[in-house]
Amino acid sequence: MAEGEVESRDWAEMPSDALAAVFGKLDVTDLLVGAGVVCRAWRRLAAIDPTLWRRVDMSHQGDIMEVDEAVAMARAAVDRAAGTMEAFWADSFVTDGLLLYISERASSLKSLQLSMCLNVSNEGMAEAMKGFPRLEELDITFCTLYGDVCASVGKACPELKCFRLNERYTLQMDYAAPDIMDDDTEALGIASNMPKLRELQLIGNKLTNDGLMSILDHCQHLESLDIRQCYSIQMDDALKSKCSRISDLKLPHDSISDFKYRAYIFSSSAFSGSDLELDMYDDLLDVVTDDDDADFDDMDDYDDGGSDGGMYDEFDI
Amino acid sequence: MAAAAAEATTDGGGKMIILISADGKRFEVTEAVASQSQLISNMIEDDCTENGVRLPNVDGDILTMVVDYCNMHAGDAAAAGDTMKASSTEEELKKFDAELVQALENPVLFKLILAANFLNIKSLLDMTCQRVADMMSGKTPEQMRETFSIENDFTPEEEAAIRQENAWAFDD
Repeated sequence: MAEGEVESRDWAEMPSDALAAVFGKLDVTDLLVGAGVVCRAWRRLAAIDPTLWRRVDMSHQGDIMEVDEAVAMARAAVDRAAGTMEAFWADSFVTDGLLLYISERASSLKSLQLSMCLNVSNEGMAEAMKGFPRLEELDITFCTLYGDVCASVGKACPELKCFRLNERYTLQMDYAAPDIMDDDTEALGIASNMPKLRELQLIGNKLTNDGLMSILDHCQHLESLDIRQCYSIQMDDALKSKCSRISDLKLPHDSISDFKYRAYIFSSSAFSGSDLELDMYDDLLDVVTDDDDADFDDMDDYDDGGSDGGMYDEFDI
Repeated sequence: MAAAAAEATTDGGGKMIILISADGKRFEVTEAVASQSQLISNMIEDDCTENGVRLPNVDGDILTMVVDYCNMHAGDAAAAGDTMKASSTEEELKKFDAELVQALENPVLFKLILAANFLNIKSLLDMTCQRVADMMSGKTPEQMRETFSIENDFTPEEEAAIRQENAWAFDD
Protein backbone atom coordinates (compact mmCIF):
# COMPACT_ATOMS: atom_id res chain seq x y z
CA MET A 1 0.00 0.00 0.00
CA ALA A 2 1.35 3.39 -0.97
CA GLU A 3 2.24 5.91 1.71
CA GLY A 4 -0.31 8.36 0.35
CA GLU A 5 -3.14 5.90 0.69
CA VAL A 6 -2.38 5.29 4.33
CA GLU A 7 -2.46 9.03 5.04
CA SER A 8 -5.61 9.50 3.07
CA ARG A 9 -7.42 6.95 5.17
CA ASP A 10 -5.99 8.45 8.34
CA TRP A 11 -7.28 12.00 8.13
CA ALA A 12 -10.69 11.06 6.78
CA GLU A 13 -11.09 8.42 9.46
CA MET A 14 -9.70 10.27 12.41
CA PRO A 15 -11.69 9.29 15.52
CA SER A 16 -14.55 11.70 15.91
CA ASP A 17 -13.57 12.95 19.36
CA ALA A 18 -10.10 13.93 18.13
CA LEU A 19 -11.49 15.44 14.94
CA ALA A 20 -14.07 17.35 16.96
CA ALA A 21 -11.19 18.89 18.92
CA VAL A 22 -9.75 20.16 15.63
CA PHE A 23 -13.10 21.34 14.29
CA GLY A 24 -13.70 23.12 17.56
CA LYS A 25 -10.89 25.51 16.67
CA LEU A 26 -12.28 26.49 13.27
CA ASP A 27 -14.42 29.53 12.69
CA VAL A 28 -17.94 29.27 11.36
CA THR A 29 -17.01 29.82 7.72
CA ASP A 30 -14.22 27.26 7.66
CA LEU A 31 -16.49 24.75 9.35
CA LEU A 32 -19.61 25.31 7.25
CA VAL A 33 -18.21 25.64 3.75
CA GLY A 34 -14.67 24.29 4.28
CA ALA A 35 -13.93 21.32 6.52
CA GLY A 36 -17.62 20.44 6.78
CA VAL A 37 -17.81 19.55 3.09
CA VAL A 38 -14.43 17.87 2.53
CA CYS A 39 -15.59 14.26 2.77
CA ARG A 40 -18.45 12.19 4.12
CA ALA A 41 -16.94 11.57 7.54
CA TRP A 42 -16.10 15.21 8.13
CA ARG A 43 -19.48 16.35 6.89
CA ARG A 44 -21.23 13.94 9.23
CA LEU A 45 -19.30 15.24 12.23
CA ALA A 46 -19.93 18.91 11.38
CA ALA A 47 -23.63 18.14 11.01
CA ILE A 48 -24.27 16.00 14.06
CA ASP A 49 -22.01 17.44 16.75
CA PRO A 50 -23.91 20.41 18.23
CA THR A 51 -21.03 21.22 20.58
CA LEU A 52 -19.08 22.60 17.61
CA TRP A 53 -21.60 25.41 17.39
CA ARG A 54 -21.70 26.36 21.04
CA ARG A 55 -19.68 29.52 20.50
CA VAL A 56 -20.24 31.21 17.19
CA ASP A 57 -17.97 34.16 16.51
CA MET A 58 -18.91 36.03 13.36
CA SER A 59 -17.63 39.35 14.60
CA HIS A 60 -15.15 39.71 11.75
CA GLN A 61 -17.55 38.84 8.94
CA GLY A 62 -19.38 42.03 8.01
CA ASP A 63 -16.50 43.48 6.04
CA ILE A 64 -15.63 40.38 4.06
CA MET A 65 -18.98 38.80 3.30
CA GLU A 66 -22.23 39.75 1.64
CA VAL A 67 -24.96 40.44 4.19
CA ASP A 68 -27.22 37.67 2.84
CA GLU A 69 -24.38 35.21 2.95
CA ALA A 70 -23.46 36.08 6.53
CA VAL A 71 -27.08 35.89 7.66
CA ALA A 72 -27.54 32.48 5.99
CA MET A 73 -24.39 31.25 7.64
CA ALA A 74 -25.49 32.47 11.06
CA ARG A 75 -28.84 30.74 10.62
CA ALA A 76 -27.13 27.50 9.62
CA ALA A 77 -24.94 27.72 12.72
CA VAL A 78 -27.98 28.28 14.93
CA ASP A 79 -29.74 25.28 13.36
CA ARG A 80 -26.75 23.00 13.84
CA ALA A 81 -26.30 24.13 17.44
CA ALA A 82 -29.72 22.58 18.03
CA GLY A 83 -30.55 24.70 21.04
CA THR A 84 -27.12 24.48 22.65
CA MET A 85 -25.62 27.76 21.45
CA GLU A 86 -24.05 29.69 24.33
CA ALA A 87 -22.35 32.59 22.58
CA PHE A 88 -23.14 34.52 19.43
CA TRP A 89 -20.86 37.37 18.40
CA ALA A 90 -21.45 39.27 15.21
CA ASP A 91 -21.00 42.58 13.48
CA SER A 92 -22.75 44.74 10.93
CA PHE A 93 -24.74 42.08 9.07
CA VAL A 94 -27.16 41.33 11.91
CA THR A 95 -30.79 42.29 11.34
CA ASP A 96 -33.91 42.21 13.52
CA GLY A 97 -34.99 39.13 11.59
CA LEU A 98 -31.79 37.24 12.35
CA LEU A 99 -31.91 38.19 16.02
CA LEU A 100 -35.47 36.87 16.26
CA TYR A 101 -34.44 33.69 14.46
CA ILE A 102 -31.73 33.11 17.07
CA SER A 103 -34.01 34.16 19.87
CA GLU A 104 -36.53 31.46 18.93
CA ARG A 105 -33.88 28.73 18.77
CA ALA A 106 -31.19 29.49 21.31
CA SER A 107 -32.72 30.03 24.72
CA SER A 108 -29.46 28.68 26.15
CA LEU A 109 -27.55 31.77 24.98
CA LYS A 110 -25.29 33.27 27.64
CA SER A 111 -23.28 35.76 25.64
CA LEU A 112 -24.36 38.09 22.85
CA GLN A 113 -22.07 40.62 21.24
CA LEU A 114 -23.22 43.00 18.53
CA SER A 115 -20.96 45.60 17.01
CA MET A 116 -21.83 48.16 14.38
CA CYS A 117 -25.21 46.56 13.80
CA LEU A 118 -27.09 49.48 12.31
CA ASN A 119 -29.92 47.24 11.12
CA VAL A 120 -31.01 46.20 14.58
CA SER A 121 -33.81 48.35 16.00
CA ASN A 122 -34.69 49.04 19.61
CA GLU A 123 -37.99 47.21 19.11
CA GLY A 124 -36.36 44.21 17.43
CA MET A 125 -33.77 44.01 20.17
CA ALA A 126 -36.36 44.21 22.93
CA GLU A 127 -38.43 41.46 21.31
CA ALA A 128 -35.44 39.16 20.69
CA MET A 129 -34.14 39.54 24.23
CA LYS A 130 -37.25 37.79 25.55
CA GLY A 131 -35.85 34.57 24.10
CA PHE A 132 -32.60 34.82 26.10
CA PRO A 133 -33.59 34.35 29.75
CA ARG A 134 -30.13 32.99 30.65
CA LEU A 135 -28.09 35.75 29.06
CA GLU A 136 -25.16 36.78 31.26
CA GLU A 137 -23.15 38.97 28.91
CA LEU A 138 -24.44 41.53 26.42
CA ASP A 139 -22.14 43.76 24.40
CA ILE A 140 -23.67 46.43 22.18
CA THR A 141 -21.00 48.55 20.56
CA PHE A 142 -21.65 51.28 18.01
CA CYS A 143 -25.13 50.09 17.17
CA THR A 144 -28.17 52.36 17.01
CA LEU A 145 -29.62 50.95 20.21
CA TYR A 146 -30.30 53.33 23.05
CA GLY A 147 -32.83 54.63 25.56
CA ASP A 148 -35.49 52.16 26.69
CA VAL A 149 -33.53 49.22 25.35
CA CYS A 150 -31.68 48.99 28.67
CA ALA A 151 -34.90 48.56 30.62
CA SER A 152 -36.23 45.94 28.19
CA VAL A 153 -32.94 44.03 28.20
CA GLY A 154 -32.80 44.10 32.00
CA LYS A 155 -36.36 42.85 32.34
CA ALA A 156 -35.88 40.04 29.81
CA CYS A 157 -32.47 38.93 31.09
CA PRO A 158 -32.52 38.72 34.88
CA GLU A 159 -29.16 36.89 35.01
CA LEU A 160 -27.23 39.64 33.22
CA LYS A 161 -23.81 40.07 34.85
CA CYS A 162 -21.92 41.98 32.19
CA PHE A 163 -23.42 44.77 30.11
CA ARG A 164 -21.62 46.95 27.58
CA LEU A 165 -23.32 49.73 25.66
CA ASN A 166 -20.71 51.75 23.84
CA GLU A 167 -21.34 54.82 21.74
CA ARG A 168 -19.43 57.72 20.28
CA TYR A 169 -19.97 60.63 22.58
CA THR A 170 -18.56 63.25 20.29
CA LEU A 171 -20.98 62.98 17.41
CA GLN A 172 -23.18 65.94 18.19
CA MET A 173 -20.55 68.12 19.79
CA ASP A 174 -20.49 70.83 17.20
CA TYR A 175 -24.12 71.82 17.28
CA ALA A 176 -25.87 70.61 20.40
CA ALA A 177 -25.76 72.52 23.63
CA PRO A 178 -24.18 70.43 26.37
CA ASP A 179 -27.33 70.25 28.51
CA ILE A 180 -29.36 68.80 25.66
CA MET A 181 -26.88 65.98 25.42
CA ASP A 182 -27.36 64.89 29.01
CA ASP A 183 -29.58 61.83 29.12
CA ASP A 184 -30.07 59.37 31.97
CA THR A 185 -32.64 57.12 30.29
CA GLU A 186 -30.12 54.34 29.79
CA ALA A 187 -28.52 54.77 33.21
CA LEU A 188 -31.89 54.60 34.98
CA GLY A 189 -32.95 51.63 32.84
CA ILE A 190 -29.79 49.84 33.98
CA ALA A 191 -30.19 50.87 37.62
CA SER A 192 -33.77 49.65 37.86
CA ASN A 193 -33.52 46.46 35.84
CA MET A 194 -30.06 44.92 36.12
CA PRO A 195 -29.61 44.08 39.80
CA LYS A 196 -27.03 41.31 39.24
CA LEU A 197 -24.63 43.41 37.20
CA ARG A 198 -20.93 42.91 37.97
CA GLU A 199 -19.38 44.58 34.97
CA LEU A 200 -20.67 47.69 33.20
CA GLN A 201 -19.09 49.46 30.26
CA LEU A 202 -20.78 52.63 29.00
CA ILE A 203 -18.20 54.29 26.79
CA GLY A 204 -19.41 57.56 25.30
CA ASN A 205 -22.73 57.55 27.16
CA LYS A 206 -24.52 60.79 27.97
CA LEU A 207 -25.43 59.86 31.53
CA THR A 208 -25.00 62.46 34.30
CA ASN A 209 -23.87 62.23 37.91
CA ASP A 210 -27.47 61.47 38.93
CA GLY A 211 -27.69 58.55 36.55
CA LEU A 212 -24.39 57.11 37.72
CA MET A 213 -25.36 57.56 41.38
CA SER A 214 -28.53 55.59 40.70
CA ILE A 215 -26.56 52.77 39.06
CA LEU A 216 -24.15 52.63 42.00
CA ASP A 217 -27.07 52.59 44.45
CA HIS A 218 -28.99 49.83 42.72
CA CYS A 219 -26.31 47.58 41.23
CA GLN A 220 -24.82 46.37 44.48
CA HIS A 221 -22.63 43.68 42.90
CA LEU A 222 -20.87 46.03 40.51
CA GLU A 223 -17.11 45.39 40.50
CA SER A 224 -16.05 46.85 37.18
CA LEU A 225 -17.20 50.17 35.75
CA ASP A 226 -16.01 51.84 32.58
CA ILE A 227 -17.40 55.32 31.88
CA ARG A 228 -14.70 56.55 29.52
CA GLN A 229 -15.73 59.42 27.27
CA CYS A 230 -18.88 60.04 29.33
CA TYR A 231 -18.19 63.74 29.41
CA SER A 232 -21.46 64.74 31.09
CA ILE A 233 -20.09 63.26 34.32
CA GLN A 234 -18.18 65.45 36.76
CA MET A 235 -16.17 63.33 39.14
CA ASP A 236 -16.95 65.26 42.33
CA ASP A 237 -16.21 64.09 45.87
CA ALA A 238 -19.60 62.46 46.37
CA LEU A 239 -19.19 60.42 43.20
CA LYS A 240 -15.59 59.54 43.99
CA SER A 241 -16.50 58.17 47.39
CA LYS A 242 -19.43 56.27 45.91
CA CYS A 243 -17.09 54.71 43.37
CA SER A 244 -14.51 53.68 45.95
CA ARG A 245 -15.95 50.15 46.21
CA ILE A 246 -15.48 49.56 42.47
CA SER A 247 -12.29 47.55 42.06
CA ASP A 248 -11.87 48.16 38.34
CA LEU A 249 -12.80 51.76 37.50
CA LYS A 250 -12.19 53.68 34.29
CA LEU A 251 -13.08 57.37 34.32
CA PRO A 252 -14.32 59.71 31.55
CA HIS A 253 -10.90 61.07 30.63
CA ASP A 254 -8.94 57.81 30.90
CA SER A 255 -7.16 56.53 27.82
CA ILE A 256 -9.19 54.56 25.32
CA SER A 257 -6.13 52.79 23.95
CA ASP A 258 -7.11 49.33 25.23
CA PHE A 259 -10.63 49.50 23.81
CA LYS A 260 -10.89 46.95 21.03
CA TYR A 261 -12.98 49.24 18.83
CA ARG A 262 -10.75 52.26 19.40
CA ALA A 263 -10.01 52.44 15.66
CA TYR A 264 -13.61 53.55 15.23
CA ILE A 265 -13.30 56.42 17.68
CA PHE A 266 -11.34 59.53 16.97
CA SER A 267 -8.90 60.59 19.64
CA SER A 268 -9.93 63.31 22.02
CA SER A 269 -7.48 65.65 20.30
CA ALA A 270 -10.19 65.88 17.65
CA PHE A 271 -12.01 68.13 20.07
CA SER A 272 -9.83 70.93 18.79
CA GLY A 273 -11.91 70.54 15.66
CA SER A 274 -9.90 71.10 12.51
CA ASP A 275 -11.95 71.32 9.32
CA LEU A 276 -10.94 67.85 8.34
CA GLU A 277 -12.08 66.37 11.61
CA LEU A 278 -15.40 68.19 11.52
CA ASP A 279 -16.01 66.76 8.08
CA MET A 280 -15.32 63.35 9.47
CA TYR A 281 -17.84 63.90 12.25
CA ASP A 282 -20.48 64.91 9.75
CA ASP A 283 -19.92 61.76 7.78
CA LEU A 284 -19.87 59.64 10.89
CA LEU A 285 -23.15 61.14 11.95
CA ASP A 286 -24.57 59.95 8.64
CA VAL A 287 -23.32 56.50 9.38
CA VAL A 288 -25.21 56.41 12.62
CA THR A 289 -28.46 57.97 11.47
CA ASP A 290 -28.82 56.36 8.05
CA ASP A 291 -28.25 52.70 7.61
CA ASP A 292 -27.58 52.23 3.95
CA ASP A 293 -24.50 50.42 2.72
CA ALA A 294 -22.79 53.38 1.13
CA ASP A 295 -22.32 55.04 4.48
CA PHE A 296 -20.97 51.93 6.02
CA ASP A 297 -18.34 51.73 3.32
CA ASP A 298 -17.33 55.22 4.32
CA MET A 299 -16.55 53.94 7.76
CA ASP A 300 -14.28 51.25 6.36
CA ASP A 301 -12.33 53.95 4.63
CA TYR A 302 -11.76 55.62 7.96
CA ASP A 303 -10.51 52.42 9.42
CA ASP A 304 -8.00 51.94 6.65
CA GLY A 305 -6.79 55.50 6.66
CA GLY A 306 -7.05 56.52 10.27
CA SER A 307 -5.53 53.57 12.05
CA ASP A 308 -3.33 50.59 11.55
CA GLY A 309 -6.37 48.37 11.57
CA GLY A 310 -5.92 47.52 15.22
CA MET A 311 -9.58 46.91 15.79
CA TYR A 312 -9.31 43.24 16.39
CA ASP A 313 -5.87 43.20 17.92
CA GLU A 314 -6.85 41.96 21.32
CA PHE A 315 -9.85 39.99 20.31
CA ASP A 316 -10.33 36.81 22.28
CA ILE A 317 -12.30 34.09 20.70
CA MET B 1 16.88 12.50 24.32
CA ALA B 2 13.68 11.52 26.07
CA ALA B 3 15.47 9.01 28.24
CA ALA B 4 17.99 11.64 29.33
CA ALA B 5 15.25 14.08 30.16
CA ALA B 6 13.45 11.45 32.16
CA GLU B 7 16.60 10.61 34.17
CA ALA B 8 17.21 14.25 34.93
CA THR B 9 13.93 14.49 36.74
CA THR B 10 14.66 11.55 39.02
CA ASP B 11 16.79 13.89 41.17
CA GLY B 12 13.61 15.75 42.08
CA GLY B 13 12.40 12.64 43.91
CA GLY B 14 8.89 11.22 43.61
CA LYS B 15 7.72 7.89 42.41
CA MET B 16 8.74 6.78 38.93
CA ILE B 17 6.43 5.27 36.34
CA ILE B 18 7.35 3.22 33.29
CA LEU B 19 5.51 3.96 30.05
CA ILE B 20 5.73 1.30 27.35
CA SER B 21 5.02 2.21 23.73
CA ALA B 22 3.35 0.01 21.13
CA ASP B 23 6.74 -1.08 19.81
CA GLY B 24 8.07 -1.87 23.28
CA LYS B 25 10.15 1.23 24.03
CA ARG B 26 10.27 2.05 27.73
CA PHE B 27 10.19 5.55 29.22
CA GLU B 28 10.81 6.20 32.91
CA VAL B 29 9.10 9.36 34.14
CA THR B 30 8.03 10.82 37.48
CA GLU B 31 4.42 10.69 38.56
CA ALA B 32 4.25 14.46 38.20
CA VAL B 33 5.33 14.24 34.58
CA ALA B 34 3.08 11.32 33.74
CA SER B 35 -0.01 12.66 35.46
CA GLN B 36 -0.32 15.48 32.96
CA SER B 37 -2.04 12.74 31.06
CA GLN B 38 -5.49 12.51 32.61
CA LEU B 39 -5.60 8.87 31.58
CA ILE B 40 -2.41 8.01 33.48
CA SER B 41 -3.36 10.28 36.35
CA ASN B 42 -6.52 8.21 36.79
CA MET B 43 -4.46 5.02 36.62
CA ILE B 44 -2.12 6.36 39.30
CA GLU B 45 -5.09 7.09 41.52
CA ASP B 46 -6.41 3.58 40.94
CA ASP B 47 -2.97 2.18 41.79
CA CYS B 48 -2.53 0.22 38.59
CA THR B 49 0.78 1.53 37.27
CA GLU B 50 2.93 -0.92 39.22
CA ASN B 51 4.00 -3.03 36.24
CA GLY B 52 4.38 -0.17 33.81
CA VAL B 53 1.75 1.45 31.65
CA ARG B 54 1.33 -0.17 28.26
CA LEU B 55 0.20 2.22 25.55
CA PRO B 56 -0.67 0.00 22.57
CA ASN B 57 -1.97 2.99 20.59
CA VAL B 58 1.22 5.04 20.76
CA ASP B 59 4.42 4.41 18.79
CA GLY B 60 7.81 4.92 20.40
CA ASP B 61 8.72 7.95 18.26
CA ILE B 62 5.46 9.68 19.12
CA LEU B 63 5.75 8.74 22.79
CA THR B 64 9.23 10.29 22.75
CA MET B 65 7.68 13.58 21.73
CA VAL B 66 4.89 13.26 24.27
CA VAL B 67 7.35 12.51 27.08
CA ASP B 68 9.56 15.45 26.03
CA TYR B 69 6.53 17.69 26.09
CA CYS B 70 5.40 16.43 29.50
CA ASN B 71 8.90 16.78 30.96
CA MET B 72 9.03 20.38 29.79
CA HIS B 73 5.60 21.15 31.17
CA ALA B 74 5.92 19.27 34.46
CA GLY B 75 7.51 22.44 35.86
CA ASP B 76 4.25 24.33 35.49
CA ALA B 77 2.65 22.98 38.62
CA ALA B 78 5.86 22.61 40.62
CA ALA B 79 7.02 26.18 40.02
CA ALA B 80 3.63 27.74 40.65
CA GLY B 81 4.65 28.87 44.13
CA ASP B 82 7.78 30.62 42.88
CA THR B 83 6.78 33.54 40.70
CA MET B 84 10.30 34.40 39.51
CA LYS B 85 10.98 30.87 38.42
CA ALA B 86 7.54 30.44 36.94
CA SER B 87 7.87 33.48 34.68
CA SER B 88 11.23 32.41 33.29
CA THR B 89 10.03 28.89 32.60
CA GLU B 90 6.98 30.33 30.94
CA GLU B 91 9.11 31.92 28.26
CA GLU B 92 11.14 28.76 27.76
CA LEU B 93 7.93 26.80 27.49
CA LYS B 94 6.51 29.12 24.89
CA LYS B 95 9.68 28.75 22.84
CA PHE B 96 9.64 24.98 23.25
CA ASP B 97 5.98 24.74 22.26
CA ALA B 98 6.41 27.05 19.28
CA GLU B 99 9.36 25.03 18.00
CA LEU B 100 7.58 21.75 18.54
CA VAL B 101 4.39 22.80 16.81
CA GLN B 102 6.25 24.44 13.92
CA ALA B 103 8.16 21.24 13.27
CA LEU B 104 5.00 19.17 13.07
CA GLU B 105 3.98 17.88 9.68
CA ASN B 106 1.73 15.17 8.35
CA PRO B 107 1.60 12.40 9.42
CA VAL B 108 3.44 13.00 12.72
CA LEU B 109 0.96 15.74 13.56
CA PHE B 110 -1.89 13.31 13.01
CA LYS B 111 -0.33 10.68 15.28
CA LEU B 112 0.45 13.24 17.95
CA ILE B 113 -3.17 14.39 18.01
CA LEU B 114 -4.32 10.80 18.41
CA ALA B 115 -1.82 10.27 21.23
CA ALA B 116 -2.77 13.50 23.00
CA ASN B 117 -6.42 12.57 22.62
CA PHE B 118 -5.93 9.01 23.86
CA LEU B 119 -3.70 10.01 26.76
CA ASN B 120 -5.98 12.98 27.44
CA ILE B 121 -3.33 15.70 27.68
CA LYS B 122 -5.42 18.78 27.15
CA SER B 123 -2.73 21.38 26.50
CA LEU B 124 -0.94 19.19 23.95
CA LEU B 125 -4.24 18.35 22.25
CA ASP B 126 -5.12 22.05 22.12
CA MET B 127 -1.79 22.97 20.60
CA THR B 128 -1.75 20.26 17.95
CA CYS B 129 -5.39 20.80 17.00
CA GLN B 130 -4.75 24.51 16.66
CA ARG B 131 -1.94 23.71 14.24
CA VAL B 132 -4.30 21.65 12.09
CA ALA B 133 -7.00 24.32 12.31
CA ASP B 134 -4.44 26.88 11.11
CA MET B 135 -3.62 24.60 8.19
CA MET B 136 -7.34 24.46 7.30
CA SER B 137 -8.15 28.09 7.83
CA GLY B 138 -9.27 29.99 4.74
CA LYS B 139 -8.90 26.97 2.44
CA THR B 140 -11.53 25.66 0.07
CA PRO B 141 -12.68 22.05 0.54
CA GLU B 142 -10.58 21.06 -2.48
CA GLN B 143 -7.47 22.70 -1.01
CA MET B 144 -8.11 20.93 2.29
CA ARG B 145 -8.38 17.60 0.49
CA GLU B 146 -5.02 18.28 -1.08
CA THR B 147 -3.38 19.33 2.19
CA PHE B 148 -4.58 16.27 4.05
CA SER B 149 -4.61 13.82 1.11
CA ILE B 150 -8.31 13.13 1.53
CA GLU B 151 -10.37 11.62 -1.22
CA ASN B 152 -13.61 13.29 -2.22
CA ASP B 153 -16.00 10.42 -1.49
CA PHE B 154 -19.28 12.24 -2.09
CA THR B 155 -21.71 10.84 -4.65
CA PRO B 156 -22.92 13.28 -7.33
CA GLU B 157 -26.25 13.36 -5.47
CA GLU B 158 -24.52 14.36 -2.25
CA GLU B 159 -22.51 17.00 -4.07
CA ALA B 160 -25.74 18.44 -5.39
CA ALA B 161 -27.31 18.39 -1.93
CA ILE B 162 -24.31 20.24 -0.50
CA ARG B 163 -24.53 22.88 -3.20
CA GLN B 164 -28.22 23.24 -2.46
CA GLU B 165 -27.64 23.60 1.29
CA ASN B 166 -24.91 26.16 0.87
CA ALA B 167 -26.33 27.94 -2.15
CA TRP B 168 -25.47 31.30 -0.57
CA ALA B 169 -21.79 30.43 -0.47
CA PHE B 170 -21.37 29.10 -4.01
CA ASP B 171 -22.79 31.92 -6.07
CA ASP B 172 -19.94 31.91 -8.56
